[in-house]
Amino acid sequence: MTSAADVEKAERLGRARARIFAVQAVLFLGWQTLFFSGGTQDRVRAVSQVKISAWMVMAILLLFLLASGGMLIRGRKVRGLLNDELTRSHRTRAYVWAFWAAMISALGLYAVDMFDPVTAREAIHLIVSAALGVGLLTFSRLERRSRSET
Amino acid sequence: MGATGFGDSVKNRLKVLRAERDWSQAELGGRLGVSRQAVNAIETGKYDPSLPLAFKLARLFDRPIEEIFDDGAGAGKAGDVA
Repeated sequence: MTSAADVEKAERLGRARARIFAVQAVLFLGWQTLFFSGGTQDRVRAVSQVKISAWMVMAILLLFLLASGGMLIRGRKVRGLLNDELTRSHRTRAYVWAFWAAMISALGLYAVDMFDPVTAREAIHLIVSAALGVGLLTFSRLERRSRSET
Repeated sequence: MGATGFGDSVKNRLKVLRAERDWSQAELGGRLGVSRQAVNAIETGKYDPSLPLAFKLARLFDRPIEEIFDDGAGAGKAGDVA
């Protein structure tokens, strides 16, 4: 049996996680507008290798957070409560939304490429950003909604 | 049973059974190993628990699963047979 203190702690951390994920998603998506704000000419040259690497590290980190639920330094019981089956169902729904975001952005890029060629790196960047941003926002929205209803 | 969110949720007597034992949602969550939000979502019909969790609930309340959960199909099926 899990103690009431653990349940309360998990509830508090769960609320914080939902807020943090929303902020992370907004910052991440906002960052992408800055990334591509240099116009369509010489985009790859304008974006430094450091910037590209930073984006990749950030994307991997956020992907890991979405998949694991974070809070890895917490105890096993609290972590279990933070990743109970309701949260896992929220994550599954977030993956579904992320899949559709990836599909729509990929198809959009395919169409845009006919008029304005897009490099492979740009295409991957946009598809991953859209899917990750939508996935994080959906997970955060579902988690916040389930907590506001109690 | 799985997650729903698309309607057709299973009705349940969880709230009544919990009240009979004077347990809070957090207390029941602790006994089941799930969060208070999960208990609330099940009680309000917003989430249908997995089969392992449904069995856990049945054992905890010492009742058969069909006494706790009702998918509303029992009456219809009886009518079909008759």
